[in-house]
Amino acid sequence: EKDFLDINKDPNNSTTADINLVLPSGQAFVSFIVGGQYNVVGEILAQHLGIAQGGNQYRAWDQFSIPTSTFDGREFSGGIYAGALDDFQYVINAGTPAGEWRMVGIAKILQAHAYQVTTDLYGDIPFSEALQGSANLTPKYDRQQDIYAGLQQLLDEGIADIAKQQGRFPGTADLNYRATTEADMQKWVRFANTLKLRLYLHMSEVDPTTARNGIQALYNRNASATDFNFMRSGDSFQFANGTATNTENPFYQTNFRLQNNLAVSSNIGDTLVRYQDPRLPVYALDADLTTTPQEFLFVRPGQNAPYPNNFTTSTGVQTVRLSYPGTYFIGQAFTNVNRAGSTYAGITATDAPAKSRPTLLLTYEESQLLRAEAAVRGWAPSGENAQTLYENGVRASLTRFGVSAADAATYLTRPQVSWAAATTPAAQLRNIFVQKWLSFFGTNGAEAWTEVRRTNQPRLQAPLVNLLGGGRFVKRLPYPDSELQRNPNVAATGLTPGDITTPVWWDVN
Amino acid sequence: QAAAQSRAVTGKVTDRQTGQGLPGVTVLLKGTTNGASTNADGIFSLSVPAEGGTLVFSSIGYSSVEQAIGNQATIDVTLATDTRQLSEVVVTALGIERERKSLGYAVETLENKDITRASEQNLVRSLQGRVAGVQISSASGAAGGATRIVIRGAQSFTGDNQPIYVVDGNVISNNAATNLSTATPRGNGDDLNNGVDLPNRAADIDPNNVESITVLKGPAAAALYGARAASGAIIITTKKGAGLKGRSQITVNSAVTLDRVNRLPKFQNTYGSGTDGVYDPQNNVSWGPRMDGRLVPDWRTYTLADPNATQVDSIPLTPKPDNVRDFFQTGVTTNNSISFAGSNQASNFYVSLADVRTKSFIPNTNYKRTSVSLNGGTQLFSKVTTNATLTYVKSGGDRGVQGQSRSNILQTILNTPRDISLTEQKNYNDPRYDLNGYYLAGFRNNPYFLLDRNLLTDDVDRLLGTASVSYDPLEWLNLTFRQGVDVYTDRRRQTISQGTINNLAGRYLEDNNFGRNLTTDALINVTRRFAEDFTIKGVFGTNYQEQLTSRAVADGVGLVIPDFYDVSNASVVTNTKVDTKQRILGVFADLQLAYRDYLYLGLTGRNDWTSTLPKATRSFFYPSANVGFIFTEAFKLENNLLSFGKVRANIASVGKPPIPYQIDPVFVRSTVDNGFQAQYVFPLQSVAGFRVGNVLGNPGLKSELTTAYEGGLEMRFLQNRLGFDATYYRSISKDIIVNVPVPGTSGFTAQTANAGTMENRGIELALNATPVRLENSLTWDLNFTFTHNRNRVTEVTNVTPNIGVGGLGSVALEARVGQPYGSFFGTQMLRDGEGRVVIDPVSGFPRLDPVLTTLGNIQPKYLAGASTTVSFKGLALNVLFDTKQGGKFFSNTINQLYFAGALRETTANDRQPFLYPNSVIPNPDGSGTFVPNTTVLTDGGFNYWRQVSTAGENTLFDASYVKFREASLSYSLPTELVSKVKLTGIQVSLIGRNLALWTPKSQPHLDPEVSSLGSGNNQGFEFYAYPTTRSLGASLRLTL
Repeated sequence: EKDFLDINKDPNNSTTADINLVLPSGQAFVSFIVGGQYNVVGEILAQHLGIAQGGNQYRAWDQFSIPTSTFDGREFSGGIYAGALDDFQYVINAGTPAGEWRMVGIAKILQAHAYQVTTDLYGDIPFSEALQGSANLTPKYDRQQDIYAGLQQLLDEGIADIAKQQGRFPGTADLNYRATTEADMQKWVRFANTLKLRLYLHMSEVDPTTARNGIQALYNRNASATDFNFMRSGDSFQFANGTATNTENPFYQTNFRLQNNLAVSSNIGDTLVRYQDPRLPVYALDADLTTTPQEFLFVRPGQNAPYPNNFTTSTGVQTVRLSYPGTYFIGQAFTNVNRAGSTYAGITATDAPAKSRPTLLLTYEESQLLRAEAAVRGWAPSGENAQTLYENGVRASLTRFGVSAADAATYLTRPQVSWAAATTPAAQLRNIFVQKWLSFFGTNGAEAWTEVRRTNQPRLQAPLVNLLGGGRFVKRLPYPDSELQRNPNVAATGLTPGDITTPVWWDVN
Repeated sequence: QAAAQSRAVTGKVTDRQTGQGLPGVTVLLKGTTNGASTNADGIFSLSVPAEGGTLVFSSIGYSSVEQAIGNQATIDVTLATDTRQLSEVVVTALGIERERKSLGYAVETLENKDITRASEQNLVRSLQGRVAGVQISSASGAAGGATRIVIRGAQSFTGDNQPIYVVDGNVISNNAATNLSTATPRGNGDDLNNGVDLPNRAADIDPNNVESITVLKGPAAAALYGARAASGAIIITTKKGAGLKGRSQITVNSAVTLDRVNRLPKFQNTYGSGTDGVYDPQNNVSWGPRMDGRLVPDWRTYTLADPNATQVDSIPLTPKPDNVRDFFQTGVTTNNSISFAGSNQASNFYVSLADVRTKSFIPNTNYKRTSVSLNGGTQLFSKVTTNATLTYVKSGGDRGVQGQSRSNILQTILNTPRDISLTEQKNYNDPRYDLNGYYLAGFRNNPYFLLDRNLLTDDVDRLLGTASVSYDPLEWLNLTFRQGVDVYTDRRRQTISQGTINNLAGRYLEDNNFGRNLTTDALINVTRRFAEDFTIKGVFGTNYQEQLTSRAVADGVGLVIPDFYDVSNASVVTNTKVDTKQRILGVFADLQLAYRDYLYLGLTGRNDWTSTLPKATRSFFYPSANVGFIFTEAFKLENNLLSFGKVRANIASVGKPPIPYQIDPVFVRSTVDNGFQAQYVFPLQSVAGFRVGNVLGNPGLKSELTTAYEGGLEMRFLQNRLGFDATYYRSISKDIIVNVPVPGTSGFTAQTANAGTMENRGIELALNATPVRLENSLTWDLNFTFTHNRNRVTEVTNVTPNIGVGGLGSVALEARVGQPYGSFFGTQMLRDGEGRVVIDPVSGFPRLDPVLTTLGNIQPKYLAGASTTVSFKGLALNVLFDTKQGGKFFSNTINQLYFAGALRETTANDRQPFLYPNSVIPNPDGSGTFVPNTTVLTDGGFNYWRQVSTAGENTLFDASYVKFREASLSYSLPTELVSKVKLTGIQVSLIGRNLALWTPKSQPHLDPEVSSLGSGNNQGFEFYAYPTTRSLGASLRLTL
C-alpha cells in the first residue's frame, strides 16, 4: 500500500521504454557525431578542409593541437559510449530474452560500426568489458587487434540473429534503412558484410594474412549471392537529414549555417585542379564569387595569419580570397562571406538541399572501392573485376555530386584517373585510395583520415604551423579527460595522456 | 511590613545614541522579583526598600546597567546598544525561544539596524563581515542577483550546501531554478551560453521588515529542523509591532544610492585593433599596430566599404583608455519603506509597504522589489494567543546576458579593441553600427543592440504566510500549532531579436516556475521547576515539510514576425517540464535541564521519514546533546574585571536526504548536441526517440549524515565592555550522496551513490569592545569577527579519487581525496625538477605538463570582518571592513583578454620574441634531462598569450581581498527639535557600500568575490560577470 511518502516517481521521465524508441536514439547519436565533430576533425586531418581567414574554431586542430579536453562528454564518453553504444546495448539486452532477433541483430551491427569508427580514431578502447553499467564501472582497454577480431564476431552474430527471421521489424524506428520487410533486413546484412570487408582491409598493412583469410572466407560464405552479398547501389549506410531546425545535416549545422571557419584545403584542391575533376566546382566555391573564369584559391594546412594576398580585385587591390566549400554543402549565409554572392548568377546557394544531405557512413561507392582493393590485392575471387568495381565506385561518387554520365566518362580517361594507365598493383591501389579520399570530401572525414593513415595515400602536406613540432603528424585522437580521470585502466594502454602522435595498431606508416 | 519601609524611586531611561526615552526597559531590584518597566517616554517608578539596593536596567538590544540606589530618589540612566548580547532571549530552531546563556552552541543574532544601516537591499549580503562562520559570494555585480551563503563549510559534494531560510517558523524556498538538466537551460546564472544572473529566492525578503536574523550554525543548533538543516539555518523574525507597549508608531525609511562600476580589468593602451601587428578592425582583438596616431582606415565604415576598393587611411589610431568604463552608466537605487505598528495589552499589529528599485549601471537593465506585509497577533480568552503574518512580494527586473555567449555584452565590450569607442556606437540603427554595418557584423552584435533587444525579464509574485495558535492550559504547559505557506510564481521571458549572432532567426523563451512550500508544526512545550534548583524545559512535536516545484519552459526558435514575442510566433518550439515534490515528516523532542542559573544540559532527538529515499532507508534518527556552564555564576567569580564566563560543548548529528528521483534509472527524450548550437532533437523525422539516461540509479541509497562536535568559550570583562566568544568545531559528513562520475565507456556517465566523506574543522571568533563610554554619551564600539574553516575531503568513491563539482574550460572544480572541497584541477606549465619552465625548442613556446594536477582550491584561509561605531549624542559613524584571505578563483575573463590582447600584461616584452626567463630546454643529448635555455626565443605576441591561456594555472588567481564594505554617518535630530514637528525621531544618514577594494598585486583586474556560476556549488569561476559597484547615497528615517 502506498503511503503519503510514496511520491518519489519522476513525473517527467519514464523508467521504461520500448526498444523501438531507443534504437533510433542510438542511430541519431552515430549520425550526429560521426557526421559532425568526428567528421570535422577528420576533414581537417585528412586535409580536405583548412582554416579560413579569421576562423578560429578549429585552428588548433589544423595546427595539430588536440588537447584531452576535446571530444569528451559529447563525443567519446557521453556520445559514442553512453549515447549510441549503450542505447544499442539496451536493445540487445531487452530484445534478446524477448526473441526480438531482428532488432537485436541490427543493434549488434550498429554497435560494430560505432566501435569501428571509434577504435580507428583512438586505437585501444574499452570493448569486451564496456557497457556493463554497475557490473563494471571501469572497463579495461582492449588491444585494437582484439577489438577488430571482436567486431568481426559481433557482425557475424548480428547477421546470424537477422537470419533467424524472428521478432518485429523496426520499421520507421530504424532511421538508417527503415526496415519493414525481410528484403529490407537484407540491406542490414549487406551493410554488415561490407563493414566486415572495411575492417579486414584496414588490417592490410599490419596483418595482411588475417586480412586475406578473413576476406576470402567472407567471399566464400557469400559465393553464390548477388554481388557476394555486399552493398548494392541504393544500399548506402546513411542517415537522412531534414530541413527543419534541429534535424539538419550535422556537418551543415556546425559549419555551414553561418559564414564559416573552414575553407578548402590546398591538398585536395590542388588534386582536383590537376585531375580536372568535375567535382571541383561542387566541392569548392569560386574564390571571389563574382567573376568568370572561376578561380579557386585554397588554404594551406596549418595556415596562419597573415594569409596571402592571393587575389587581385577589379580595382587592382591585393586581397585575401579563399575557396569555401561548395554549394553542395553550404547555406545561403555562407555565400556572403565574400560579400558578393548576389551579383554572380552561378552562385545560388539555398539552404534546403545542404541541410537535408544525408549523413554518409558507409556508401555504395566506398563498398565498390573496397572490393576493388580486395581484387587488386588478389584476395577476392576471380569473379571480382577490379577495374569494373573501381570505375563503378568513381562513377557513383561523381553521380552523387551531380556530375553527368558524359563528364564521368571523360574523367575516367584522365591519366591520373584511368585504370588502364595504372599498370602496376601499386598504381592501381593508389588510384583506388585517392579516389576514395576524393569521394569522402565533406561527408566522411573520419574514414578519410583513417584511410590516409592506413594507406599513406595521398601524402599529407606539412602544415605551415605545427604545434607538435616539425615533421610530426597527428596519428590518433587523445583519450579524453573523463577517461583519464575516471578510468584507471586507461593507463594500461601505455600511452601518456594527451598522446596524439603514436600510431594506432594498424597504422604502420 | 515591607511597604512601611519602602520608598519610591523614579527616573528616566534614555537611549545613549539618540537621547530618546526608552520604553519597555525592565527595571529590577537586584536579587528580588520586584520590578517595573518604563513607559512610552522611558519613565519608571518603583518601590524599593528604604535602604540600599541596586537597580538593574535591562532591555533587549542594550547592555544592562546596574546602578546602586543609595539615597537617590531619582535615577536616570542611559543604555547603550550592544550588538554582541542583543537579546537575552534568542529564537532557536522551530521558533523555540531560549535564554541565550542557556545554549550549548553558538548562535549569532543581528538586529534590523545592523542589516539596514547601509541600505543593502539583499538580506544575505548584509550578513557579510558581521557573522563569524559564514561565507558569502555573489554571482555578479548586477542588482537582484544570486547570492550564496555557506556556514561552516560544505557538507555535501554536489547537494545543496546552503542553509535553510526560516521566516517566522516557515521554511521558505531558496530555490535558484537552475540546473535544468533535461532541457536546453536558458536564463540561468550557471548557463554560460545564455546566462543571466537570477536570484535565489531568499532575495525576496525585504530587510526593512526584518526584526532580527539568527544564524544557527552547526548541526547542534539546527538539528530540530531535521534533514534540511544540515547546512545550518537562517532564522528570520519579521517585525510584528510587539514591544511597543501600548504605543503606535509610523516609520518612514527612504534611501537613494548611486552605483558606479568599481573594478574593471586593467587594459593595455599601446596596441590597437588587428592581428599580427596589422590593423584590422573586423576582429575583436587588439593585436594590431602600435596606437601611435598613425592613420588607418575608419573602423566605423570599414564593413560598409566596397570590399574591392582600397581602404583609405583616414583616422588616427589612438587609444580609448576609458572605452569600457564609459559604457556603464551611473545606477540609481531607491529604497523606500513605510510601516505602521502598534500594540496594546492584548494585540499587536504591523503593516508595511517596502519598495526597492534599481536602475542598473548596465544600460537598460533594472531590478524592482515591492513587498506588502501584514503581521498581527492577539490574545483570546486569556490563555489562547493567535498570530498571523502575511507578506506579498513582487520582484523582478530586466536583466542582461552574461557568460560566454555572443549575446553577452561583456565579452564584446571587454574585448573591444583598445582604439575603438563604445559609446559612439550607441545608436545601433545608425548604418555604421547596425546589424550589417557594425564593425564586427556577422561575428558579434553591437552591445547596445543586445542590451536594448535581448533581455530576460523575470516577474515574481510571492506570498508568504504563517498562522499560529498557542494555548496555555496550565502554567507549565503550552500547546502550539503553526502552519506556514510559501507560494510563488516566477515568470521569465527572454527575448532574442532577429539578427542576434547564433540566433539569427530570433528566439523567445518562456520559463514559468511555480513553487510551494508548506511547513506544519505542532509543539508541546513543558516547563517544570522542581527540587528548587532544577528547571526542565521540554518541547515535543512534529514537523512536516512539503516542497513542490513545477517548471515549464517553452523555447521558441525562429520568429516569424520580427520583434513579436510569443511562442505562437516561433517556428520551432521545444517544451520542457520539470516537476519535483518531496515530503519530510519528523517527530522530535528537545529537553533542556537547568541547574540553578549556570548549568544547562540540552538533549534533542529527531526521527525523519523522507519521500526521497527508498522505503528501507527512508526513516532515520539523529540525536544531539549540549551543555552550557556559566562558571562565573557557579563559582561567583564576577568582579570588576571579569563580568561573565561560560563554556559550552555539544555533539550532534543530522541527516540529509537526497533530492527527489535518484532511485530509479530513467529514459529521457533523446537529444544530441555538440555544444556549438548544433543538435538533433527527437522526435526526429517524425520518429520518437528515447535514450537510456546517463545516470545509473541506486535503489540502495541512504541519507547523508553529518556529525559535529563543538566547544566554545564566552567571556566578558570590565563590566561587559570587552568580550569574546570563541568556538571550535569539527564536523564529519559521511555517506555523501553524489552522482559519482563513472567512465562513459561503462555506458553511463554517473551513478548516484553514497560515496564520500568530508571533514570541516574551524575556529570562529567574535570580539567586541567598548574602549570609550563616557558620561557625555561619547561611545566607541568595536566588533571583530574571524572565521577559519579547514575542509578536507577524506574519501570520495571507490571508482575515482575525485568528484567533479563543476568546472569551466580546462579547469575542473573537484572534491578530491586529501584536498579541500572545491579544488581546481587542470593543466600547468611543464617544469623541470628545479621548477624552471620547459621550452619546446622547436616552437619556442612553454610546454604544458601533460599530467593534470591540483592547482589550488576555492577555500579561503580565513575570513574576517571588523566594524566600529563611534557615537556622540545624535551622531553615529559606522564603518565595516571585511576580508577574505587565501583561496583561488578561475577567471575566464582574464583568459579571454589574454587571447584578445586587451589586457595590460599582453604588452610584455613589447610583444617581441623574448628569452623566457629562467627556462630550460630538453637536453639535446636525449638523456631526458634539461639544460638552461639560452637561445630559444618565445614569440611574445598572440601565440604566446594563447599558449599561456591554455594552462589553467595561468588563469587561476589569488581570491584574497579586503573590502571597505560599508560606511554610514547618521545624525539623529534631538528629541526637542523632533517633537516640534510632531515626530518622535528624525535620522539622516550618508551611506556608502563597497567603497574600496584591495586585492593582491598579482590580481589587479577583478573583484574576486564574484562567482559567475550562480549560487550553486560550482564556485570560484568568473566568466564575464557584470562588475561589482561602489555605492554612495543618503537615507532619511522618520518615526512618529
